[in-house]
Order: sequence, then C-alpha cells, then structure tokens
Amino acid sequence: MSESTATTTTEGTTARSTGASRAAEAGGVPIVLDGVTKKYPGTDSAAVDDIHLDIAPGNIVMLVGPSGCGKTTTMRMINRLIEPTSGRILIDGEDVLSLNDVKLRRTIGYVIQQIGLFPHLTIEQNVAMVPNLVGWDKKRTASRVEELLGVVGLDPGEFAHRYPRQLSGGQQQRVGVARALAADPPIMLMDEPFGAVDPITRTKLQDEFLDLQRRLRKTIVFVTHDFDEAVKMGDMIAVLDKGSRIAQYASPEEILTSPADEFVTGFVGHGATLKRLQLERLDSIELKPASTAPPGVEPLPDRSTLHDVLDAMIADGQDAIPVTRDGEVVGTVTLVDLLDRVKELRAEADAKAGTTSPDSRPGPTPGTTADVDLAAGTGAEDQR
Amino acid sequence: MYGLPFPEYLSAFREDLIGGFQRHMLLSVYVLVIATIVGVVLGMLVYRNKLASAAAIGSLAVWFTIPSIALFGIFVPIFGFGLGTGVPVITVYGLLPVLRNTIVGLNSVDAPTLDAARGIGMGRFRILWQIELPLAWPVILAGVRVSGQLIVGLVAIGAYVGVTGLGEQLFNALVNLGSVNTFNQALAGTLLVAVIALLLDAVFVLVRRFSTPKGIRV
Repeated sequence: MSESTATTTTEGTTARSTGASRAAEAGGVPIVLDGVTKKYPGTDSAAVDDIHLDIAPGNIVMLVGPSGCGKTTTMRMINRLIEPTSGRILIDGEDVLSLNDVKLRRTIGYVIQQIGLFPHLTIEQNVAMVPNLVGWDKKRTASRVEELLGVVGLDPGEFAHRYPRQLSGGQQQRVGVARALAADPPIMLMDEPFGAVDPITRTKLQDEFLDLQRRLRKTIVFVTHDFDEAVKMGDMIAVLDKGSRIAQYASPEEILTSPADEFVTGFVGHGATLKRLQLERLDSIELKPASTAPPGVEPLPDRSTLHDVLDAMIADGQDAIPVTRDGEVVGTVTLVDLLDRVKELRAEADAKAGTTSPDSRPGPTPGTTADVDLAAGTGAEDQR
Repeated sequence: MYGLPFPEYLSAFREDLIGGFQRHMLLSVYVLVIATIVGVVLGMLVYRNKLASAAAIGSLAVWFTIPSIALFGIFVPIFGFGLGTGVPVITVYGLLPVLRNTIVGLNSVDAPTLDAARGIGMGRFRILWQIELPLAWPVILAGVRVSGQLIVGLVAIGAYVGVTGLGEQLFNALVNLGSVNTFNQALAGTLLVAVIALLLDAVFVLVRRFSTPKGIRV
C-alpha cells in the first residue's frame, strides 16, 4: 500500500496543471478493507460480514445494494463512526483503528444525504469548520472557503454570509460538498449525497461532481441504492448483498456486460444494454462529415454519451444528428454507426468474458429490450 | 376600615415599598442566576444518558408536587429562618424548568446535523459547545423565562420564612385582615410583584433577541 504514495504525488500535479484550482490539491490514497466485520450485540447475523475490498487511489468506488445490505455501515466503519467488531481498515497503509478517531475524521471528507449543515452558522463558517479544527490560520481558511464556494458553483460574494435555511436543497448540498473538501482530504465518504434533491438537480450535481473529481482524483467511497447512479459515477462498483457480501466488484462495464450471478443480474435490472450506452462517449464513434446532417436538428456536444445520442434520435425522429466540439459543428453521427459501435462493444465484452457466443448476432435495435443479454453471452434469443 | 386612599398609601409607605421591591427583585435575579447555572450544567451532564435524564427530571418533579409552604416548613429547622432556607428551596423549584428545557433542547438537535459534526471530526465536547448548545439555546432560554416567573412568585411566599421582599406586604395584609390599610398592602404588594415579573420578562425578550444565533432566529 505504501508504494502508492508515488501515485498520489503525480495525481496532485495533474490537479494543479488544470489551473482551475489554485491550491494544491492532494490526490487520493488507497483504502483496504481486510476482513472487516460488524456484529451488533444481540443479533444473530453480522451487519457486515468479513468484507474484503481493495480501493485504488483516485477511484470512485460505488457501494450499491438493497437497503439493509450493510453498505452504509461498511462506509461508516472507514472513518470509524462505527467501530468494526473485527478486521483491519488500512488507509494509505495505516490501520485506522490505531489512530485517534476524531483526528482521523478530519482527514476524511464526509457527505450525507441529509446534508447536515450547521443551521446556526453561515455558509462560510460551515465550510471553514474543518480548516479551523485542523488549525489553519484565518487568512488561509478564508481564501480556501472562497475558492471552494467557487469550485462548487456558488458565488462567494452572494452566499458566504447566508445561512443554510436560505439556500435550496441543491445549493445546500453544494455547500455540503465544499465543507467536506475544505481541508483537502485525500478520501471522501459519500452516503447517497444526491439522493434528496430533485432529478434535474441530481443530474446536474452528479455531472459537476464528476468534473470536479476528474481534477481532484480523491479516493471516494460512494454509497447508493440507485444502480444507474452507480454506473454513472463509479470507476468501480461493489454490488453488495445482505451482510455486505460482495456479489461482484468490478468496473461498471464489466458488471453490465457480465454480471457475476443471479443477484447481480437482478440488481442491474432491465435495460442493461441501454445503461451500457451511458458509459460510452460519442467521441468513440467515427463521425460522418458535417454536411450530411439533416437541417434543423439540434446538435449535441461530442462529450455526450451514446445514450444521450440515442435519446435525441428517438426524441427528434432523426437517424442522424450533428455533433459539436467547443460550439463548432464537427460532424454527424448516424444511427447505423451507433449500432455498429454497440456491436463492437458486445464483441469486446464477449471476448473479455471468454464466452463462445457468436459475434454475428444482430445488434440491439433501439426500442427492443436486449437487456442483460448483451453481456452475459446468453445468446440473443430474445431479440424481437 | 380601608385606611388611606391608595395613592396616599403609596407615598406614605414609599420607602418600605421601594426597599421591598428592590430586595424582591435582586433576590429573584440571584436565585434565577443560580438556578440557571446549576440547571444548565446539570442538564449538560445528564442529557446523553436517558436514565440519568429521567432521574434528574423525575426527582425535581417530585419536589415540584410538594407545596412550597410545606417545604419551607420542613427546612426552617435545618437551615434556620430567613435566606438560609429561602434561597435553596426556591432555587430547587427554579431548577426544574431550566433542567427540563436544557435536556429537551440538547436532545432535539437534528440527528443528521450531529452525524455531520461527528463525521467531519468534531469531538464530543466541541459538538456540545459549538453545535448543540447554540441550537438548544432558544429552548433553554424559554425554560429560564418560566423559571423566572416561578421564582418571583416564590420569593413572595418566602416571606413566610423571613425572606424579606414584597411578600411581607402580602403577609401583613393577610395577618391583619380587616384592619386599617390591609387592602392597600395587598394591592401594593400584588402590583409590585407583577411589575417585577413583567420587567424580568421584558429582559428575556431582549436577551433572547440578542443571544439567539441569527441562522435559527424565527
């Protein structure tokens, strides 16, 4: 675990080089859960039963599973809000159980669904709490608060001296994220952070957070019960069953294409093919010349996902959509190209999964439900 | 039968009345300060423990059910006539509203707020001091306010065991019922006690206004 300190430094450099954040941001550090168990007295089965999890630095790991599966308990043991009954938790190679729990938590960002801002303190004071706890001087704290409010999209001049109740839910959670990031912790724990806001705000917060994370490269443990959110946000997903049994720990692509067992399949739910499209960016497709685009169709930016493209095609009733890069139209994406790409993805997935399913089967047509079969190599019987 | 007309009574006994008013008011404030400090500190010691909270509130509630006259009577042989008995007995009465509101206020802080406070690395004492106490403050203050009203009334009854204040006026009126000026005594005593109660209340409105954190002011 200690060898990864080198990674941390390089990631820190990447963060600085974007120029978007003035302060040097520390990248993430690895987390290892080693046989961690939590058993509450008077209960027969453990809430968390012997979980082993290796979390690479700079990754977002999604803990996803049905309610009561122990995902939140697992997360809360990392910053010792809940003390494990047995097992070891190593952060950057150091056993957290050997550290002072209060001081440990100051080095770990913490964001929860109910936000939990301090209502009697201003936004500025809320965000400054951890820097104050770790003893930053006033000037450094003040400039950090100002910077962070900007980073999470709140104008410091307008918001710094307001109180939490004067903000909307979405704005409050931005402050919640800023508070967690304040003292630049290498690790963040997030418990359904965007679960309580409306769907539009949620999508926006997710997108912005992903942008932010691309720069910060924190190690993030993110709890959700929403598989779609897990697919969207995660570098890795741990699908958890009762007692935090890890049903599968893999990349979103792999879980969508080859779910490990019935439980994962059930959890992935219907429409795995479509979900898979959310992971693929438009720039993975070779574009047709811009001139072939039908007139009067709203263009999409090249950062869009294939899911967005398909959605727009269906919505507009078009089989070709112009694509823009930095506002300039650079080409056209067609439905045929999109389907070809889906076929490629399936072939890659099959090759990876080592299955023998034929590559020749037709790609899924939009509107039909290919579902999990894209992956599993179970054949294409249910193509209609 | 009724003695002097009321305004003349007031001016004739001005010094007695002013003296009684001052003593009554000061004594009420002293007792209230003691009851508040003891009540809040006791509340902070027990609020996290359900059993201790229940025990503290319960024993004071029992005390509350006993008429003050009876308690004064019980303690006079022990602490003697005067403030020695009056102050402790009245203080204990004044404790209950403060203690109960302190416990309720400290426990009514939102669970997510506390979870966030712990989660970002605030220690137990810091959470109490920087989060729970400020958030519970309006509730605690409401308890102190009730306690203040209670104490002003009890100081009057304290005259029975030699607590000098406006209570003397009232008791003289009762003892000499039917003789000259008793009506004046009763009226003057009652009015002045009411004035103290109102003054104290006005102070609370101000204290509440200036000491409640802005973010939770209603």
